[in-house]
Amino acid sequence: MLISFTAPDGRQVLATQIYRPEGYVTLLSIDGAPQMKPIRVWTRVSKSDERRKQRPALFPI
Amino acid sequence: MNHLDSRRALQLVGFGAASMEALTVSVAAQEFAQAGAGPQPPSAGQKSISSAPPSAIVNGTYEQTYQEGYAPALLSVGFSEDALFKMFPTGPQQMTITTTPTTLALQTKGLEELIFLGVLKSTQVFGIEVKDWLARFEDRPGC
Repeated sequence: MLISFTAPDGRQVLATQIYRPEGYVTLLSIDGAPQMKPIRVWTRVSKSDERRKQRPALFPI
Repeated sequence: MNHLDSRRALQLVGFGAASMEALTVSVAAQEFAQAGAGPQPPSAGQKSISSAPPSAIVNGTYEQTYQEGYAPALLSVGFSEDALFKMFPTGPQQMTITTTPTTLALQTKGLEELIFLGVLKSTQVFGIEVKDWLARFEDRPGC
């Protein structure tokens, strides 16, 4: 998926999102700043992960 | 926590904490990213709004697990530090994405935003008005 917008300083920003079964990565590309390679990783939350988080925590004595 | 402490926290989260994880996550993230083509700098005349049907692989709930370089990049294009605090809240960030051939719904913390794919949208990005926000699927598997 591609997301683009104009930043407050007028430069174009393009976000490329690459999807995989385990999650997706967002790579930012800023017009005029090829040296910057911001990256953000989102991991898919599986149903089992959600169930695990909902279980009450056991605290050691 | 006072405001200066908050700014210090942002620096740690935005610049330091991510690099702490980088030893174990960065290689995998880079391989993950390189599996698809990297982003191309947008050209001034880029106005393609063609959309392909989104893959079912997109739909789901996600949690942010790694980031690198976002804060300095966004600061460099005019977003304020205060705006960035909205991007790096304390605690894990989760988002649910639901797509149809023409729409993209983003849901986080009970709030949902519906976006029409391939249509310019006026919205707020980190609290700043953006008038030409555009999302579209590329005709390529996985994007």
